[in-house]
Amino acid sequence: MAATSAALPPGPVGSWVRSPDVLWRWSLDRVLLLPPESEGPFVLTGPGAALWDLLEAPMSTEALIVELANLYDVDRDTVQAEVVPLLAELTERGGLRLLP
Amino acid sequence: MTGLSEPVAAVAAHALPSRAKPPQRPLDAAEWAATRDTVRSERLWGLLAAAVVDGAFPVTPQQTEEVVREHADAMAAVLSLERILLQLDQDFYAAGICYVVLKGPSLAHTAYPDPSARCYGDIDVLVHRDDLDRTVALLQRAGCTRPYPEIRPGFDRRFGKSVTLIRPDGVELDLHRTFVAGRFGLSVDLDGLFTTSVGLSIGGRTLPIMGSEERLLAACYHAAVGDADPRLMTLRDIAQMVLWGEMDVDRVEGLAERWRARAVLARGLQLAWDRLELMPRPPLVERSAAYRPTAAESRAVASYTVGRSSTAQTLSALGVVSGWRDKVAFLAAVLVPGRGYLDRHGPDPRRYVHWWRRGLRSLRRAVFPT
Repeated sequence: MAATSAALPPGPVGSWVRSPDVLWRWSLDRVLLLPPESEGPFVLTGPGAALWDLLEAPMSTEALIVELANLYDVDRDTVQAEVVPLLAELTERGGLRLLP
Repeated sequence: MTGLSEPVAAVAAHALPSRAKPPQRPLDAAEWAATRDTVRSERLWGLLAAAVVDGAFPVTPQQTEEVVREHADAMAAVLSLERILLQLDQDFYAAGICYVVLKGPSLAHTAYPDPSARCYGDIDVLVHRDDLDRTVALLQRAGCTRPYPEIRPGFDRRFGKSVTLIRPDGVELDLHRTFVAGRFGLSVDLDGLFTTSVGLSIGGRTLPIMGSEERLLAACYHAAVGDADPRLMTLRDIAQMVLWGEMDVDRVEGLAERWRARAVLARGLQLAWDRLELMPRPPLVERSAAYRPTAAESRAVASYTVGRSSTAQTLSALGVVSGWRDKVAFLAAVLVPGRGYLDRHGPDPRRYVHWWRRGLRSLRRAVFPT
């Protein structure tokens, strides 16, 4: 595993949690989310579903990156480049919250 | 469900100690089509998906795709229903309506380790009888329609089983006053269901559901004297709660005794264990199997199952309606329904005559069975 690079900006500081008012279900290897403001459910697959699974307990951005990098056996820079925008999008869509 | 096929039984009993064995290899096209159709009608996609994921039910890549698609659709549907339920809870709370969530959502989140195993297709709530009329009015103001009119004014609140409403988006809402129609529904301690209710957290709200013992008994009502042919999902719910649920079995039996529902509990458990081919029998199931219903109980159960006669149900119900005034009101409503009820398919004066003739024939059969 490659060490964390300083090339990418760090993710937001705090602990990520699943939004308590989001409705969700596993469907085999994917997860369907229905946040309050969403018109219909949207689906997370692959690393997105793995991220949701990891967030059964609150986790920092750094801890998520480490876990996903280990899980998929890829370097942390690659994971960080994917995960930080995903976290932002999930927050924007009402699926996640960042606790200080 | 008659003539349950081995693959369907294996799906319904997946991960339970059952004699029903899944196929050794993927089903051929015809077997798969038959199994899939039953899985769909019995809402067993959650259990089939779990069996496929566990490697317990072999499938072809094409069948896997179908399971993935159908299960995702089923889960999208239950999420939409839960969203409606959250809105209902908000509305009921604001209006001070006393209710508990029944069936699908309450069981998916309590009886199963993963709620995605439990699919459902509508919303059932039990509303306190004193709040039933205004709940119907509240939902009708919100655009819900009532496909079946009340048999006579006040009947639903006093003696009815439930009121079905259809939302503008087509979703069915069943507002129950009790679990089933007739005798067995009338002898449930309905007030007690609200005082012993517990909270279920979904989507940031805490919804009221019945206690665990009451949930098991409610499932037994649905299986034993609800549908003529009990749904496999209901039988699975019963088995799931008995085998994995945390409950006080003495309290289950005590409630069944108080609700005059020992025969209902016994039949519900027996149906679950027989149809799902479960083994061994836990003490509650063993004791219930040894229960011998009285002749009156047997007749009452038969009125829901063998030949399913509404007249026999009515006669049996009269025995548990308390007080002469209520007995007369109950009988009057059943014998002389309101014009609106009979004219629900369009006005026709001959309907009264038909109603009476059919009722008298049925009464003769119930009192003087051949």
